Amino acid sequence: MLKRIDNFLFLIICAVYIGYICWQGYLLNNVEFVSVNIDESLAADSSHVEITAIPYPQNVNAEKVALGENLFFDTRLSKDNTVSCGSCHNLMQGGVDNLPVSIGINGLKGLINAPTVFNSSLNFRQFWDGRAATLQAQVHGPIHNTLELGSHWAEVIHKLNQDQAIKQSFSKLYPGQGVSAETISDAIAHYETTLLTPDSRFDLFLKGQSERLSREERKGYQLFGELGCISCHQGVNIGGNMYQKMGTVNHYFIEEGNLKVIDFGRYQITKNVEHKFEFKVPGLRNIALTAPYFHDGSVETLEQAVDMMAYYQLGIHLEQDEIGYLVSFLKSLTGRYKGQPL
Amino acid sequence: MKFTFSSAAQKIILICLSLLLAGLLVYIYSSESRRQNELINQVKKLNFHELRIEKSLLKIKHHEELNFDYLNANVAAIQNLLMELQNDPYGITKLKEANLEGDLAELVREFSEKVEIIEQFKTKFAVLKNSTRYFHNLISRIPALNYPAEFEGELYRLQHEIYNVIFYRKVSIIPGRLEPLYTELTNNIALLDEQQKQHILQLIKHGRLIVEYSVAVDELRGRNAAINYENKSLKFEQNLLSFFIYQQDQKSHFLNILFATALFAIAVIILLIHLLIRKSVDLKQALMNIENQKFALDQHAIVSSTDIKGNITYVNEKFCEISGYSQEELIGNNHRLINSGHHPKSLFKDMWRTIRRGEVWHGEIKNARKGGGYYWVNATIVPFLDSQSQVYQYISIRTDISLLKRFEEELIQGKLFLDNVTNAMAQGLYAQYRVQWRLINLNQALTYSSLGLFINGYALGLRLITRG
Repeated sequence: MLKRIDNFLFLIICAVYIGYICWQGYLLNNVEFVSVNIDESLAADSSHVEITAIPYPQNVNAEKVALGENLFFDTRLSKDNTVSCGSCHNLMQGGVDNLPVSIGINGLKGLINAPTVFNSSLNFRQFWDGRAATLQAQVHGPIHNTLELGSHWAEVIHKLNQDQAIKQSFSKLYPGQGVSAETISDAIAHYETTLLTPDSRFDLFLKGQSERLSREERKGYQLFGELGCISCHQGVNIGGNMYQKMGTVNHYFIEEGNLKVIDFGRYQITKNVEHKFEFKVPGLRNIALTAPYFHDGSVETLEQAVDMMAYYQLGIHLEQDEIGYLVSFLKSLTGRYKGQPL
Repeated sequence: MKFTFSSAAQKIILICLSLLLAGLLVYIYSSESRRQNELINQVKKLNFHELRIEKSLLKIKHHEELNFDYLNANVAAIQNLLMELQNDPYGITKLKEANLEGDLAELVREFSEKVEIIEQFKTKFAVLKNSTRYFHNLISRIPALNYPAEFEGELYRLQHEIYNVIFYRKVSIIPGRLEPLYTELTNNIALLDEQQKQHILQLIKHGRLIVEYSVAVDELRGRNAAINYENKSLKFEQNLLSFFIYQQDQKSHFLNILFATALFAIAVIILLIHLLIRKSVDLKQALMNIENQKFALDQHAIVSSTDIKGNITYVNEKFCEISGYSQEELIGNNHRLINSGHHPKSLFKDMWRTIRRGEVWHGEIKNARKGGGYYWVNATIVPFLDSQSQVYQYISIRTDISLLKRFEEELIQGKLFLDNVTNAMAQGLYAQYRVQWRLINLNQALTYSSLGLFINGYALGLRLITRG
């Protein structure tokens, strides 16, 4: 009897040993060399020109985008289920509401002009004062702003968790996380990165189709460079890649008067006097559709905006024909979303 | 020298050893070199993107890079990397001595300072570039405005000075030379028409802006150069590598321990096997001795064993021979099978009481033979005790005393016959040992009074002659 147990034990030990050796051999066979990938999207190939064409959306996670799209138009993100992101960032109206300041829950008026959601992923930071580094971080703002969606994460998550369909797609796309502040923001940000408007006439012109711009528009582009607008309105989004003081040469807030808290720009966040009246330079893509203009939405027309910018930022008075050229150039910046002109 | 392991101690030692081995294996597998490699790659990128940022700044300064998108992308890349590292997916903060957390915090602080400088640089440089462009634009319009010759000369002097600022960055000496020029130009401005006046004011305004922002940009470049980001990131990287070396060192010691433990386990097992073999040899020897003793016993005695109820579990050949039963018939049956009924029940009761107490019982028993007949044995019953002192079987060893018993009976019968005969006689009769002259076999007629007769010589005497 004892002998039989001994034999059995010996067999088990042999089996374990052979199994272990086989397993290690298998692992040995499967050790692979993982080559390191350098992110080629950060190549410097397009920085030798001032303005580059908008790329098409790339590496899209279609399911997350679809979820983000649902959330973008979901009024449950607001306190009283009346307002969604899409209410003020109307995709039919150039990604804005065409109001000086937006109207949130209970008809409350916001403090600042809604920037367009189109091409927002091309901005180097989000909000007029650049307080959000990423689209994900931006989502937090309007949800908690009492004049906008007026809600908070716990409430939003609670409401979304009531909806089994949404809950399921969250747990499928974000295993282990489910509905949370991070995942809601992430899905919306994924959607927003697809809101690009490539193939504007100007972009096609940049790509070599010079006949796409009329003589006036080309003249406007030339002026845009010569006058120096292009120093700040540059890069792929024709702006949105630096901070600049509103009134670099002439004092906008002294001459226009009526100073408000939001006019202090970045200073509100950093409390650094260097940052007083500094705003993120807005991108000029689809600018013809996003009236009224400036951070306070105080200017109705493009002509007036161009004129004021030239005066306050460049210290020059433009001739009427120059304004005309510049405006016709700016109108050529309207792109296409999903192949359709905006 | 003699080792003695109890089996419990052996088990404990082997279980401890296997647990230790398993624990060590798990520990060694848990540290992942692949994740370390990933982390190193991430940290390398911190330096790589910083290099690209510096390159970008230089190119921007020299108008080779005309937009900030690339610069921003690299800044964002570092910010993302630092944020990821601060979330600490690699557990680098766990090791307090290395203070990697402190290094990382320093690096983050340094980089956020750098980012602030870069943002200001972008802002100021855009204005500088804007004014430079516009100034150049204004200069190119000089011929078309038909200035008087002395104005034109001064304007070209202004151009020369400003271009010195732009191209040769003689920022420190220029202001002193520019201010007189500005005053001279503005003093005589009344001589000019409106268009020329505006033109000159624009030139002066943008000239001032160029100088102001050149100073600011240079100052920012100086501040950027003073930022010690490379040192901090190098320190972080080196400390991280040291941390990994530290882990490797620890791991190698654990490997050694694992190896030694495995060797020790093998040694213990070999020792145990050796002891077992030796024990089994001893046991075999002892078993053989017992076999021999049993053989000897079987040759001499009638041996049987029973369980505690008296059921027969073993009989030897002699038992079968004397009892007339075969082994098969006996084993499994109760010992009562051979009870002759000769003895009173109290004898057996007494016997059971004794052996149940664990004591040895001796006695003479008459047993029945198969098919009738009896035999006598002198029996010794030995109870066997287990480790808890409980009886678990009985062995009885017997010798055949039937012949002895028959002689004894015959003797008793003969004596009885003689007594009857002698008692029938009227004279007293006695027998006497020759040696001691001790009296035996007195008949009833022989009284003490008649014994006196014997002494006087009247009695009939019988002298028994015995051998001893």
